[in-house]
Amino acid sequence: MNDGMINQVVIVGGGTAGWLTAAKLAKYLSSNKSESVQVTLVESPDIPTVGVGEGTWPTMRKTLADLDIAEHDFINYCNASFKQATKFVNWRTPAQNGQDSVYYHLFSSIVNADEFNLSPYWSLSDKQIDYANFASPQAVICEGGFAPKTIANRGYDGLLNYAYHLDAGKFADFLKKISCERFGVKHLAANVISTNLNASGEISSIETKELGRIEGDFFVDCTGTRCLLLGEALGIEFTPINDILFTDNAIAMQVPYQNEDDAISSSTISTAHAAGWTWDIGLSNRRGTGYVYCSDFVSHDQAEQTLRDYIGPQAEQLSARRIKIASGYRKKFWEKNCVAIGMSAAFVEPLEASAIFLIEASANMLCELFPRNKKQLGAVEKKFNDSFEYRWKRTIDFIKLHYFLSHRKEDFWLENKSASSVPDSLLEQLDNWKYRPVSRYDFQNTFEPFIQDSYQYVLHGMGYVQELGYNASTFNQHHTVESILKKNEKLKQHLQNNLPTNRELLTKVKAFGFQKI
Amino acid sequence: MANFQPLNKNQHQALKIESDPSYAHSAQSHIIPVSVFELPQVQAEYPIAFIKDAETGRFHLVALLGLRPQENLFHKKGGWNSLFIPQYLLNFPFVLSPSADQPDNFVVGINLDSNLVSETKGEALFSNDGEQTPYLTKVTENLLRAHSQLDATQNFIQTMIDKSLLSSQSLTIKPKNNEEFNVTGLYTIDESLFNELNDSDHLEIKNKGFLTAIYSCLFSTQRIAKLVNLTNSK
Repeated sequence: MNDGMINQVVIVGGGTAGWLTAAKLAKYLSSNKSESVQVTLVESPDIPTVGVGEGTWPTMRKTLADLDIAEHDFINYCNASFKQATKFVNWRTPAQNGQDSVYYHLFSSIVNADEFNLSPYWSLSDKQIDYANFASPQAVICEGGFAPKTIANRGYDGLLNYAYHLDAGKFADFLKKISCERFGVKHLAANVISTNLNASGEISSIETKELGRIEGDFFVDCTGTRCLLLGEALGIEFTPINDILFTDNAIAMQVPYQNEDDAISSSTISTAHAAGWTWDIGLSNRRGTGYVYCSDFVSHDQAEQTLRDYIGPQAEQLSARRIKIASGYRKKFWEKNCVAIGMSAAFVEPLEASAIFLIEASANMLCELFPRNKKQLGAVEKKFNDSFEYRWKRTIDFIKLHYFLSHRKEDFWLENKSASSVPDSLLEQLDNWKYRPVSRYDFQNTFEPFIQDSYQYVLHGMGYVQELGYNASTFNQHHTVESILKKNEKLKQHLQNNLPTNRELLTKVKAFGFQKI
Repeated sequence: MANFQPLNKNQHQALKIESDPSYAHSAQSHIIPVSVFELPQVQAEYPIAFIKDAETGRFHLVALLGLRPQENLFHKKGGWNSLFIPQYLLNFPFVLSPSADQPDNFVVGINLDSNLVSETKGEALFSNDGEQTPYLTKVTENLLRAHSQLDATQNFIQTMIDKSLLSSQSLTIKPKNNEEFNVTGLYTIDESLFNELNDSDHLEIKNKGFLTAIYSCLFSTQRIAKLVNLTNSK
């Protein structure tokens, strides 16, 4: 420590952010060897985790595989299920004559858009089928409740790309067990009272009620929105973005399945309502639902009623939990010898399940650029802050895109289209895409959070009008398109005939597990 | 097709079992399960592979009788294209299954729908006074032997998985006068992975008595050529 080495990392706060960071860092740095960096996680025994982040991205498969976790152990412990898409209901327009407007943001495309872009060919077609079905076999698979793989596929392999729905509380527990038993993380239960800084303004230790002073060379702030270290102790301010994303409350309800064989959805179902949207996430043992809304446009009671109406008669016996949310991000995520990961760093409404993904991404960057020597701190700080400011801004743009393209007419939705609420970066992109297809050159950053395919599913799903007809002769690869579309139709048939339902597969995973080969 | 009933001397006293040197019941099977103890003999005649059960994802140890589903290249009219017959074929139409009232006990079952079963032709199961014939005693012994080898076979498979010795194979077969086709879904022991095994794992495998089985699997890949020849001569 005296010679400037970083040997002791203290992570403050458990939850998904704390334990995922602890597991990744300790595994990466070989913390179970005494000569390596030691990782300690201090968790308050009194503060419950928020625990409503229940959707991941496909990156979670690599995260778990890298931690040497068997996929079935994770699935069974965390009541996880397979997620292949977000299904957007009534985002484009409200239901008309009982008919929902629906589109899918899928994880798999028949061909990656950066290799060959089908999008302009769909835009110029008669649009007999929607874009998701044009460009991927996965929409029919989601609609049919099928899983992305069979029991004969090995762990983490899929016939289609997939992520997970999971029980966030169980997931933190699962990672805690693995971090402590396998990777040498020390777990301390204590409440933080204050933070001590040294002469150069770095954090030197935290004071806890139960265990007194805990010293460290490097601190990870996973204290959630309280942001005890980066915010309170180091004074890094919070930049609210409620002028862009208006939702400020969520009300959540857990809904049991009524029958043992009820279908488990392979998509997160996101349904738009008058002043926000509901999530509906099918785990193996229950559904997690919630309404994210803006309290300027609807009362809390009305919001709860919206959620109850969405769930139906079943909601009568269920209790709801309200959570205040504040979208925004810290002016810096890394300051001196402290980095914030999770809700302490930033929060945006969970529309595209970016929260856990950005925790993974933050922990990955921290691992690979870990400053073993304090001399490296300044350079890593800058790199990390630049990278994550970019990623959070792009995430905000992408979420805003969903609102901005909606044709809904309620006040909340109209307000979302007001020019002052839309980031210039988003308007600029949309201007470009009016007259040309989305391009891989629009996504030049290696760590772009949302890729070209994602944008195209949302743009086309929301009915964004592209004028490409004047330039139709440019899009002349008709033979290639024809053969891709043929392949897509064939694959749809094959997958529908061979894939089990999500529930069938989860039952088999419990009984047999996946093979590692 | 299959109507397995527990053998009962009152009901089944008159039954006789014919032997069929062409093992016609396997005519549609391109794989059959084999035991780890049979591998030295199996490898001389059949390719050995590990395949995944589509229902459970778990591995079975099998001999290949054909290269395509429902293709049995060994079955022929009145005979079989090999001198060694795996016990799975020999035991037909009998099975050993847990008794209905005492699941820990096993009873001999018989497929009454098999056309090898009649009251007129073949070996009797019971004598006129209701005693087991030496034939049935032999059948029972064979079934018990096969059953006693299941755990060892499972242990062999699990050891190969745990030591990461299996790799997935896909073959492209080009028959002489026919279109080429792909064989997928086969896993075999990877010779280079086996050779790279560290000393302690190698010793562990030796002490479990699996070296002969591993070499049998490795040698058996030579029998693919035999199957291709049989395909060509069809």
